[in-house]
Amino acid sequence: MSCEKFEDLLPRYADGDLSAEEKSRVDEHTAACAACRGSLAFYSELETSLTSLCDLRPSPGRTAAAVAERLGLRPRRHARRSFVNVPAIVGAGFIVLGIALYDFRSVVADFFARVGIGASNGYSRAVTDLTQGAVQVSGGSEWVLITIYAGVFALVMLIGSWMVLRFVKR
Amino acid sequence: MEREYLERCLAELDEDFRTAIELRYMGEMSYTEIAETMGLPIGTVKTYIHRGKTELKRVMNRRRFVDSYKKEDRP
Repeated sequence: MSCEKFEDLLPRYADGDLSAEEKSRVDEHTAACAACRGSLAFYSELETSLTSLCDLRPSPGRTAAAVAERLGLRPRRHARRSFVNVPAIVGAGFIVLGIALYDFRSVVADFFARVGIGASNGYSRAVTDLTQGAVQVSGGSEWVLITIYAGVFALVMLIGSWMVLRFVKR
Repeated sequence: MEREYLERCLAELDEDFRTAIELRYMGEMSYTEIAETMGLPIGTVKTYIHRGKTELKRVMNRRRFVDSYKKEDRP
C-alpha cells in the first residue's frame, strides 16, 4: 500500500480510532517507512497539543465536573428529554374533545342510537344530556344554541392549544 | 507545539473542519454530541476531524516553508 493511502489512517491512529487490523497495517508500514513514521509522530504531538488546549480554556463541562468533584458530588449525567409529555397529550385531548363536541356530536349520537345502546352508554348519554341542556338554556332558539356550541368549542380548543404550545415548547 | 501557533493554524482551516476540531478538543464533546450539535452523521464528524488534522499538517508545513524562505531572504 502506498504512503498516500496511509495519510488518512495516520490521524485516526493517533486518535485511537482504528480497528486492530488497520492498526497493525499502519504499524507494519511505519516500521518500514521513515516519512510515515515522521507523520505519525506529528499527529501524536498534534493530538497532545490539541488536548492541552482545553486544559487552559475551561469548558462548561470541565468546570461543572471540577465543581462537583470539589463538593464531593457525583457529576450528573445529561438528562434525557422525554418524548412523553403528559400536559401536551392532555392538551391534544382537549382539542380532539372540542372537535368531537362540535363536529361529530350528532354523528356519534346517531351511531349509538342506531346501534341501540344509547341509553346504556355513558358517552352517548353525556352527549345527549349536553345537547338537551344546551337546548334548554337556549330556549329553543337555533342561533343561541349555535352560539353556545361555538363558545364551548372555542374555549376547549383554546385551552387545548395553549397546553400543547406551552408544554411542547418547554 | 505552541498554543498561539496552533490557534493561528486552526484559524486557516475550513469552517466545518475547524468547528468539529474545536468542539472535540476545546468543548470536550464526544463524537455523538458533536454530530447532534452540527446536525451531521457521526461518520461525517469523524471525517471532518481527521481531514482537519491532515489539513492542519499541510498548513503548518506551508507556514514553515514560508517562514524559512523569509529567513533566507533577510539581508
